[in-house]
Amino acid sequence: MTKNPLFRTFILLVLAYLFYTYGIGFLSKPIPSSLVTQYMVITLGVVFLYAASSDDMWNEFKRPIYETLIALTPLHKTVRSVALVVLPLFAGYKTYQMVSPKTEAPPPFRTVHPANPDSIQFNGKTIDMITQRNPLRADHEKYAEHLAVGKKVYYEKCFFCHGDTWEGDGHFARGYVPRPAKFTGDETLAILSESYVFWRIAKGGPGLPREATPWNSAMPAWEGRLTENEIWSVIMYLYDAIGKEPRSQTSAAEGGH
Amino acid sequence: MKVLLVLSVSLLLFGQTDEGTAVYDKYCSQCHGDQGAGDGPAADFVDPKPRDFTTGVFKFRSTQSGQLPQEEDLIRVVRDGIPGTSMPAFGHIGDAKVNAVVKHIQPFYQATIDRDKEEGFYPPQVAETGNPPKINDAKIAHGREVYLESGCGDCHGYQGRADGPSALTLVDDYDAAILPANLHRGWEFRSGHSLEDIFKAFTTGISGTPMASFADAISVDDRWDLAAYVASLSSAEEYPTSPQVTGALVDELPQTMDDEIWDTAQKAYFPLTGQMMWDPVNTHPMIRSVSVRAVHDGTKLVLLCEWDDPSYSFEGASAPEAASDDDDWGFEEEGSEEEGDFDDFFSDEEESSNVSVLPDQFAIQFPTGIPADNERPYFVMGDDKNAVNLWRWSHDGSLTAVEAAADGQTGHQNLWTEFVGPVSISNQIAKGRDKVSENSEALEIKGQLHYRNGQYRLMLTRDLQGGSDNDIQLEPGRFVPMLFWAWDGHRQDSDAKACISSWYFLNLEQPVDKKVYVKTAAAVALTLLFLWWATRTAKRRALEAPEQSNPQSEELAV
Repeated sequence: MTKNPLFRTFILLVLAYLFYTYGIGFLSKPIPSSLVTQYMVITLGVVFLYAASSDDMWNEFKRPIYETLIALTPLHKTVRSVALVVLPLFAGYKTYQMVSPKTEAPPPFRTVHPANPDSIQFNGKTIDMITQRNPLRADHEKYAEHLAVGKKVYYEKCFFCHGDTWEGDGHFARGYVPRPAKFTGDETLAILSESYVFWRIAKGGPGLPREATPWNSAMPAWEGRLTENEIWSVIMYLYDAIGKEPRSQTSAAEGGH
Repeated sequence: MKVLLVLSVSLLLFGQTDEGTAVYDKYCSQCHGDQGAGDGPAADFVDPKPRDFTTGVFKFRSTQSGQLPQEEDLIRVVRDGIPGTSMPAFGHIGDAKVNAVVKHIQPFYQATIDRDKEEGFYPPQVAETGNPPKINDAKIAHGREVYLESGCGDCHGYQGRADGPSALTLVDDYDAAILPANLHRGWEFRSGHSLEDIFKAFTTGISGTPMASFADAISVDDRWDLAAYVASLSSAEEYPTSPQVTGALVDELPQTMDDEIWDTAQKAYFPLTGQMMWDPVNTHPMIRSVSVRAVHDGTKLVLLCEWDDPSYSFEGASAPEAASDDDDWGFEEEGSEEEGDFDDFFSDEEESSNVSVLPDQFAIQFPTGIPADNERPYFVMGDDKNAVNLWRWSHDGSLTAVEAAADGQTGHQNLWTEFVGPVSISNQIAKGRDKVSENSEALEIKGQLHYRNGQYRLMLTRDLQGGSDNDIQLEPGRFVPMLFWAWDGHRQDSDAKACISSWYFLNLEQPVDKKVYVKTAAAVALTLLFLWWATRTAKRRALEAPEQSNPQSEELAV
């Protein structure tokens, strides 16, 4: 029995399904169920192609189905009777699910690091997103002072959401969808230029382009509430705190992501 | 104070390790201050305040009342954090660093250690606990009796929602107002929700707060039952946030908040949090969640919103001022900042005076029309392009007090606050936080309010069809964005200083279309037809070519 192509196909499909639903999620991030369906269709196609690759194999593949349909043995007959009840009910159930009204909220689609504008206006001053560097970095003498200012700003304005340990898990984070940005790791500050970060702090959620769902973002626009120097300080403090370097400005010209 | 500083600095020179200093400066000093005095830059923006280590007063201990904590107690606080406060868990930095930083703060309260040594209280003695008993309903019921008889309700409220008669007058040793724990929010219990944790809280007391030790007043067995009762009121994990409120289609709408229909309706839980987008910001959100249920009958929608607010505040009302009028908290005066005027601190007790409060408010925000795609108005009261509707209640005090009645079983009374009545709900249009106007053409929203034992319940009724173009038209089957606002008048919340949720959805169930059944039946019939055809074809072929059937097939059938 274990050598029968139909049986093997069945086992393979079960394994594939388990891998798509749980295995991928275990190895990296889980994939949505619609994608699992797509992968299963492709897998099924490949398996059928393989089963039909020679006449012998195809006949072997078909044989158990054929034997069940003609009820060769009493066991086959039982299987056929069960299939006659279960398969139509399953088809009915799936159809009902598909055509009945949706009761699940539409999923939020959101661009996490949208492309930045070429330049922004900050308190009437033009800040070029490609060439602008953090001016405080050049000020080696007062480096520690700027860090101290940045730390103060962070713990007076930012840590409520972005957290004591820069993980995006501050004591306000539980209430916001989307969650506040996590600064540690390789997905935010580590891949962004300082001018990009300046843009995000200065213009906040309301300054996001449409694809980043600005209406949902709880990030305040700090222009008018923080000075330019305070923003550059807090950026410098953040990179220092998480122990990463900002992305170089030349590559930032290609966009934020 | 100067002596203390010199002492701290001198100890700093030989008592503290490099690793402890580095960890403290990186993770702790922003709140607790460079010298551990609880005066870091973030200190003014958090509530409860960061611990001032120089006072030598520590809240969460396993030790006897009035004594210092064990080192393990401090390690636990650093490692696991303090739920419901801005003290995060630092376990991820590793045991070595946690231990080092706990050693690092010790010199800050060396004065207290020295004093306790002199008085024979150091090293601290662990409070006796015994073993936790097996919990059953009888123990929980007895715990409830202990709760009322021991006066827990005076602060924590008759039903444990932090609304007891004394709740608003309490202050901590920083002379800052402090609220008792809301016992229905176990995930915010500062020192944990396990039976042992709860037992420990009222056995050791919480130093520096009005929460006294009940080790002498309540027997060990009774304390375990009390812990069982408190644990039974809530869970250790915050309820999951619902993506939506699903409004069931019902034949008959509920007329009251106690209608049985509500028991079957989905209860959606939405966290509320502070507001940082606009000044004045709200860094101390007191109303921390709202539970919402909805039903409709095809023409009218009824919403039931519930939220906890320990203070009942309305327009023109006043509340007792939080003031120190109690001196048995067992806190250590010598390290206290208040040292100089400590006697005044207690001697100028006055009759507690009143402070004026702002009205409590609650609002539900919808866009003025159901958006075609996923675009929505800006979540803080909309924007220039996209207006929002606010169904808003502001407490004008027009409710009737319900006569306090004795609890039939226990005979305890006067722990009730109960008010009930119809309330007016205004319908506002907002195009941004500073562009809010009344919508005069809007359809009437009927409001019914009930306040009891620290909990508001607001029932709103409105036609699905709105009154004008600027009034949300609710359609069954559509996902209508929905968001919640709450203002705690006692905390001087108003305008942007509010508690706010994110956008979620209201989804009203639609009657199931007959086509759904037709399609389902068709799918069943088609599958049956196919199976019948396949069987018939196979049988026909078997008759035509009997040699195809394989004698070895038994093996396959296994």
